[in-house]
Amino acid sequence: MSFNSYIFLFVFLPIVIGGYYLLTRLFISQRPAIGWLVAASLLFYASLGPGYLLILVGSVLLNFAVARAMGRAAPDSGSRRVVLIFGIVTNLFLLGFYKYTGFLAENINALLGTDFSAPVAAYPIGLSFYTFIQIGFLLDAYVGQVERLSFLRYALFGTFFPYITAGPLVRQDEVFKQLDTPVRERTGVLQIAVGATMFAMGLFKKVVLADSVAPFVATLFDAANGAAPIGAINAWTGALAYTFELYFDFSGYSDMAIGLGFMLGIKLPLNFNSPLKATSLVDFWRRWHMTMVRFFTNYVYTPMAAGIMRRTVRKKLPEPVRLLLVLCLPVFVTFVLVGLWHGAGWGFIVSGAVHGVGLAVNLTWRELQAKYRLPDIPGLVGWVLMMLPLIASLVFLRAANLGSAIKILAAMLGLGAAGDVPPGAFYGTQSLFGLNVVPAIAWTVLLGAIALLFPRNTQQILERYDVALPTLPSPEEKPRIRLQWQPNLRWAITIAMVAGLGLVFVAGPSPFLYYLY
Amino acid sequence: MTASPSGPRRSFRLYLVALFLPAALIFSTSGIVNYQLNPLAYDRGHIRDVAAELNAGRNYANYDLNINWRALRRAQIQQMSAAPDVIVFGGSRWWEAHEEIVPGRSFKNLWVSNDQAEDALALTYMLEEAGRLPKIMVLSLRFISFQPPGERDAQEWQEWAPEYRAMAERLGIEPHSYLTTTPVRQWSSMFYAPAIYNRIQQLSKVNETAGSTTERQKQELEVIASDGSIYWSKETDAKHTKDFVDKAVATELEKVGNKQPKIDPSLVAAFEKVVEHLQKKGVRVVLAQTPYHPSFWNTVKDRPFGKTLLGLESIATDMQQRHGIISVGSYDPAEMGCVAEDYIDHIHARPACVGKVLRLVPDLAAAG
Repeated sequence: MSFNSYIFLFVFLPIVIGGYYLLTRLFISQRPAIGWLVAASLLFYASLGPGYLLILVGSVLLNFAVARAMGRAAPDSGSRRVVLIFGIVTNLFLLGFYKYTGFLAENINALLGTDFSAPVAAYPIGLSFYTFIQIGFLLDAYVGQVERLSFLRYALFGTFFPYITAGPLVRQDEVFKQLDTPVRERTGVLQIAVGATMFAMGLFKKVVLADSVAPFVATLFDAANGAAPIGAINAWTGALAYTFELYFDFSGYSDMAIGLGFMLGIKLPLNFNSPLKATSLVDFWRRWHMTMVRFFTNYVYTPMAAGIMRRTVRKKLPEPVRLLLVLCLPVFVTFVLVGLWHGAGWGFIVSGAVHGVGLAVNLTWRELQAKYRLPDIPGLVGWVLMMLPLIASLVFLRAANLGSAIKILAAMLGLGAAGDVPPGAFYGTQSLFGLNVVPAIAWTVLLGAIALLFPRNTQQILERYDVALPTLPSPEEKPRIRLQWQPNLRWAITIAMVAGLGLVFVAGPSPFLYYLY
Repeated sequence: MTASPSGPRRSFRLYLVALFLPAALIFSTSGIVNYQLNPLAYDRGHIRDVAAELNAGRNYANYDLNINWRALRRAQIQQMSAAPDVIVFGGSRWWEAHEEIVPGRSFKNLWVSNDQAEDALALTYMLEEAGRLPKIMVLSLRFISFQPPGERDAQEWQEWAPEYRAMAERLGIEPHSYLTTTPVRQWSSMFYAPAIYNRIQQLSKVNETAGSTTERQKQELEVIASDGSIYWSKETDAKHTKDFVDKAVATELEKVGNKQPKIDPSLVAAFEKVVEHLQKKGVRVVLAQTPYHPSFWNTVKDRPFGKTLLGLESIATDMQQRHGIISVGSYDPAEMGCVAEDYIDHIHARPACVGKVLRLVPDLAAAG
């Protein structure tokens, strides 16, 4: 059962929301309602695959026990630190066991000619997400940021179905602080209306926009895995299509998650903020998968950069070396880890490394620009400099192997093998109002236009209602077109059409891309 | 960001009503239109009528083969006037097995799309309830016949869930849960809007009209023959060029990769119970495996996929030895004398090749 399935939309969600609202109105205490959400979340997760539930429950129990043990130990005590390390290592071990042992085995076999295989074949959906959410919790608990720890609240935090499978990566205070406010103040018809609107827009982005272009993406990447030559236009079309597919798929999912949380009285943090409109790679990463960036910034990049700074501050290092160590190294390592977090494969690592190098260059430029008063890069140039490494990195992310990725990138540079076919033959054509069009190109252009030119994104359309929590600081944007949602007939019809289209596109084949991670 | 204005609750309530009604209208319209445009996929009444035509010895021409085959077969069985001598059952790899392969006997090809082990239980139940068990039942195993339900992409097998459950109970087999067998995806597809567009495109390009026919081959429409097999239209036949077939094989090889479909022992055991049950009812059971395209086979036999196929051949051999049933055919085209020209893709063989498999069954055709 996923958000874009009829069982979820017509059975699970109405029952869960109905039961939740009933319990919040019948009881003064919110414990029954929270219990209801925990039960619903466990049922939701169990529907994703046999045996997954045990892993989630085990993870939640373990982390709760670790947090309790830390709470009992004296602050700054050695035992508290030991418990924390035990908790983090165990979490990472669980993640590594399910996610990385196959990759490790493959590489050992390739190096040593052995025949190891992964001990388990199935990867529990969402493991990367709920592992990191809980590691973040443990770190916050260690520094005393968790004020009150109840099992029921923690169970909800660790299992909440809107974010358990693919984020957003929430922080404990974002959830617990809201649970401290009376539930009747944060639930009601307003929350249902606004949350449903957000959800409908997300559903549309996922099943109408992202899924329509998915078959063309598969055509390119399947072909790259075979022997047939690929031409430049076909390579660019497919690579761009994948960029837009991933954006609409993941941001659509995030919108749905935020909408669900809002309907249930729990605001979730924002995860996307029109990233394809960014005019630099640094700006891009302030807008794309923002909660993941926040996690890696807080718990990997900043401590690493601070540690290197401490070690080098008194040493008189040449400027290039200082830039390399303090600026470039931490961001490169962080993003290689980001790539690895996304998946167990060289393609993911290379994808992360591409961003690591790009960001290192971008940050170095900014440093030099400030120091030597260099001119600003024009927005369009900046956008191109952002898109090129992004598209290249996504090719590595999506391709079946490094060879296929390189084949596509070579084709994009015009270095593909001869004998390729025109886009119509490669992707297929369709007759539209008497014209022979190539749907792959038409859809890619349409999605690009929407991603780049649509004046406001979903949270901006709903900005009067603060539908999501802020995640990262983003620059104030003055909208040229005032497109703001209100509970009136015009918007009802508009969103009804968006929702209706979403509903009639649901039945196509459509797994969430970020479920894979 | 500004603080949320409270606004009157009534406006939000009205908004939700105004949102829900048009969305529901779009949703239900999509379903109604698909229902009308694809009656052989959704309209049970129409499916029964077509089954009656087929049982009466007439053929039926349709725009494509994306129909509810299991509903059609159910209706055919329920309306059969007599038990056929021979029934061939399996997936679409049998779709061109025509009655001429089995001269002198009454023959029904009850192939369905994406057959699974559970289908054998359901089919047996339906035939038994209708009193139409054949003298010879040809069953076959495909690469994912015994794949666990949770890992399947295709869910058409759920159409026969009631019959599967009934037969499972009869044989003392623990059936899958109701959640597993409920045909959600099948009915979901009725609301899929792009299918309307595709159908309209199809109808606008075709000059012929779907309906009952005495012809076996039409220019533009595919024909479902009265014996249950299919005849491609002349237009479709013309598409099956060497390039087309080679590309199809290459695409499938990329898709298969290093996958190794699982064989669920409980499904194998359930299938065996059906075989035993049929034998007790006096039915001669034959297991027949159809070969793959030579290029496909020669590549996959050394991959993990090939291990599954070898596993299935072992299952067939094992059943032959333990139950005394006949097992014929092979996934290896060289063993069957089938060549690349016999195929329209990696798995679907033309009548010449399919016939070679069936003719291995002793006394399949009537003597004299």
